[in-house]
Amino acid sequence: MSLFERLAQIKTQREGQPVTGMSVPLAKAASPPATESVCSSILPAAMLDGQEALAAGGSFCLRQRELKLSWPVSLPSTLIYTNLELIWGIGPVTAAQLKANGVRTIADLTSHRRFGPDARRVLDLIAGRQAIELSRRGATDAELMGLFSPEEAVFLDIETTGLWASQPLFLVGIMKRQGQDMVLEQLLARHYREERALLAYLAQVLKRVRVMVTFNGKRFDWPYIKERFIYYHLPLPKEMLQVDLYFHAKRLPHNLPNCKLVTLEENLLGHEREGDVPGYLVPTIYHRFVQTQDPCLLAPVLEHNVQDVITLAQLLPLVMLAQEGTTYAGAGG
Amino acid sequence: MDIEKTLLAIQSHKKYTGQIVYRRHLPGQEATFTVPEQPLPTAISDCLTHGGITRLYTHQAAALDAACRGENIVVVTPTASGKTLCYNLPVLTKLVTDKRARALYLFPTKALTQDQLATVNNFGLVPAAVYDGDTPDSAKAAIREQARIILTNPDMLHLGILPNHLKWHEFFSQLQFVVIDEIHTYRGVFGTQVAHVIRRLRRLAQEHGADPQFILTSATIANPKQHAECLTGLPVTLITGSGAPEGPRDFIFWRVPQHTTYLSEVAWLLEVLLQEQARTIAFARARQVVERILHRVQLQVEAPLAQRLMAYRGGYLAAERRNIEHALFSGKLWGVVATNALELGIDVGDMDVCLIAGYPGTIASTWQQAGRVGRRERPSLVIFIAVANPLDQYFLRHPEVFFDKPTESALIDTANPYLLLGQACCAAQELPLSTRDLSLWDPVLLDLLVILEEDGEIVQGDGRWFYVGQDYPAQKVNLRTTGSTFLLREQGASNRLIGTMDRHTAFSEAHPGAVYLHQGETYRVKELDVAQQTAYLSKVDVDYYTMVGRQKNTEILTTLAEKELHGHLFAIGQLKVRTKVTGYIKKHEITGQVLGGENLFLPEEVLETMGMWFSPSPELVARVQQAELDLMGGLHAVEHAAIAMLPLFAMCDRNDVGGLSTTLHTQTGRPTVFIHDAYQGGVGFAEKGFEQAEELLAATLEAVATCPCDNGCPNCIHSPKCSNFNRPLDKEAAIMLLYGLLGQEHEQQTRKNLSPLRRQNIVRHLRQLKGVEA
Repeated sequence: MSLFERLAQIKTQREGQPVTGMSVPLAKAASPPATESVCSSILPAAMLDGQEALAAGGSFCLRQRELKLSWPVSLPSTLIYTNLELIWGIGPVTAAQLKANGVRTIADLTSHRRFGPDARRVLDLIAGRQAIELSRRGATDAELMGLFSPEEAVFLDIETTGLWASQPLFLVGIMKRQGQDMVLEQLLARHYREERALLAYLAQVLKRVRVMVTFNGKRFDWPYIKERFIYYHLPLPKEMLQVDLYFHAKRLPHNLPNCKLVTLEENLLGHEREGDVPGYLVPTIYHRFVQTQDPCLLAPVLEHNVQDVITLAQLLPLVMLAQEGTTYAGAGG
Repeated sequence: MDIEKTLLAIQSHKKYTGQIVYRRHLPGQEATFTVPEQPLPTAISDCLTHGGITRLYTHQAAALDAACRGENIVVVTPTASGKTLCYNLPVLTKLVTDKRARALYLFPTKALTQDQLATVNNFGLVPAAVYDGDTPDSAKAAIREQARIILTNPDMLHLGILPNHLKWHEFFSQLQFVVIDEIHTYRGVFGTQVAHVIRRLRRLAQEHGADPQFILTSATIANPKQHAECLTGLPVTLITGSGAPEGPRDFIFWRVPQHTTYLSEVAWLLEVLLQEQARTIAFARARQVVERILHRVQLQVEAPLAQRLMAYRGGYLAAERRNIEHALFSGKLWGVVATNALELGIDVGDMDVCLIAGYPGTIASTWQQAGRVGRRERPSLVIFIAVANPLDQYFLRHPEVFFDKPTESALIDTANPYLLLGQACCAAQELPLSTRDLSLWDPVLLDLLVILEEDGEIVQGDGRWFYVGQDYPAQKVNLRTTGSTFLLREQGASNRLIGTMDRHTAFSEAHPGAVYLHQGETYRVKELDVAQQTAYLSKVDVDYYTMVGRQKNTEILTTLAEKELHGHLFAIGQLKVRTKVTGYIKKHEITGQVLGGENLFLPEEVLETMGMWFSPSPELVARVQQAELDLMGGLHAVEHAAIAMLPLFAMCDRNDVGGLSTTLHTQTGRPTVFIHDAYQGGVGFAEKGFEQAEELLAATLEAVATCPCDNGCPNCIHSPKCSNFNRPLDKEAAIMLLYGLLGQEHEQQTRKNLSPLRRQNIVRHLRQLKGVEA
């Protein structure tokens, strides 16, 4: 049916409706279709297996879950000192020469005539755990992660209503270490108007975080979060070390069909998801949930997010260490 | 340059046989100055003084005053009247006093953007930068943060800036002014799209806490205020009355003698002008024509003098163009043959003579071309050389149309559902649409949102519409073209890309067997792959060109308005036009003789658009038939000529409009002529034709009745794009129909006894008719 015909049909339907609707067509169209059960109130958090949480004067739903998972990897904090190439002017050739001459760590170069001053500067950066500056100088994620305690790192994955940050974000899955276990928190906006409180709470959580492990977070999750902060005129969270497993996975020597998280999960971890929600449906499902407040709609999306976060933690050692193996060996020897 | 001496040289040339049919002397004017209500900040007045400006022209002061009162304005003044100060002064006044304020400038072309950046930078008061498709990614973040004036084009705003508005928060939240230059160029499909982009801009600026004021400029058109208000959706104050000085100007209308081509006329005129050392710009409509004119002059003129003339057109490298501009400016070159690539914004110094070879399509751009000569108070000469088509010929007979109140309107249609559909997705992606936003757009938006929801592109929730499509909607909306794009590739190992065209044009010009000209090369289409949207061509050397035939039928979907004029029915409504290219013929390049033809089997195209139609009364039809004239030929001729004259009222090109005539239409039950927009959804051309039907038909009658040909020619009723190869056409029947449609008595004349005297009587009669209407 052509556009003109479809418009004519809509017009006919509109005119066929009671006169009350005609007088205020805008208001009528703005209200949701009568066939769906409409909830003006928000679903209690308990119905979603969560609790009411408050931040910045608003509420949202917080789901917490303890997981019998151990921290996936422990990296020695000394690793970074062996990377001589962090010093300006030292490339692979010079580094090899220096190592052949018995130089093992950056500390060995502090009184070097040429490299001494910058070596001292790098040591200061390491002592100050300036991950971003060190990363700019070429420090690897594994070297940098070694500088932080597991308690300072999180695994994070978000669910949004679009691919561009002009659309609302509604779910943040964030997992961190607690004692010997891990705890996964899901921050859920049950309605668009809860997003602001969710972000305010997230800002509080991120204050204590120095390392964020994500999948494609450098390009998607982190900029998206920041733009949502801009949208709500909230102060931006500070920059931190972004460990993006997508970039690591892409550099893995493998013959996988693609580098999607689910593909890696199946092939490297041997997991198979059942009844997983396809990503492209997530926005539509969420918008319907907002209308109906039907917890059944959201359950698979929440589960999908849990799986993604757990997979992040499980993939970390595989994709990161496989690639950094040589450096590791060097450190050991 | 001495105008009289130059004219004498032309008139005493051996090829001069009285081609000058009209001369109008425009005396020029002295500058008039006004002191603005509020003095300019010293920083700005110092800059002006430094540049030799101590007083403001009347229109500049008026623009400044109105803008300072907070009004949106549209400034309409001629070329070279100091128009840029009309927006730079209010904007800079704001920006130097409010240190956070920002401004956005929009220009239709990249060349103009660069040119205006230089102008803004000359003030050196606030950081300004161009942000367009050529801006390197590495520079973008800094420009977003630091530039207080961003200069760009509507396409970049649509594709790059608005969808990323959160990155532009600081800019949008402080956006005080939006400047839109040359708004008469934003018409038709492009103009309609730009109007939507501006609404998206306004919505986002509000979201970020700003409510910018608009300053627009336009060439002289019939409806500058209304057009500015349609584009922005805001009330706009009109500023006219240039206070800039103008030199005396002589405007000459040139009739090409029979059995001569306009190319050779232009060539010998250029020869004379070169010999006279008159600094000349010759404008031609097509790139190829430019090269052919230059080539002819070079054959006619001795080498040292010939080197004083060069060509300038799109497709030249930027460095090459800069060299020519510089050589003109410095006086090393005396003349240039150019396309409209030279029309806007490029300073070529002081020129004396402008040759306009063929009507450039609008009166506004004719004046813009004429305005390239005689800048400041220099006397200048403009020669308009009419080519073979009804409009050019009409102007030869009615030169006063150029100088009177402008008749042509820039039209857009913000209710076109096809264009709004794509724009609604763009808007929703940028920010969920709320009920409050609906007031920015035509009410049809509400129905389109229902359709988008059915199609799964948009989801409604909590009184808002969210975009849930999987792609980047702005990428699917091209502001300047409609429909899908076909690629033209040279058949071979690499399948080199030659060019692109839209689907409709591809079926007419790139069907299998079509001869296609590109950059002076002749190609023949070997294959048109409709599914892949690609045509494969190979170079050939042939002496014929091709024309397609089409089968067309028109269905009236809705009649939106009807009126009766002198007993005849006129209507406007939604049409469904089905077209099928059925075959093509080959015509000899020079003689026009038909050399053969082929059938074609191409898919049908369906165009849903706005159209006007009219049906002559049964009495009039009977009269035509009693006179033993061909009714079909008459209707068909009226259709062609009316389409050709429509650009007098609606700024459009013949190709923007289509038509169909029939002796019996099943829905009207009568003989009917349809004239419709050639774009999905329509952009207002046919509506203008309906509104001004009587004026349109009067101009059409004039064009047909006063043409000296016997049975119709390209100057009156032939159409270069007729799908029936200009058959059947009956000029006499057309004249009778047109008189009848206008409610005028017409004593039937057979061609034999239509003496020159009789023809003069017709002209006199028509003049009277025009007087009565006025």
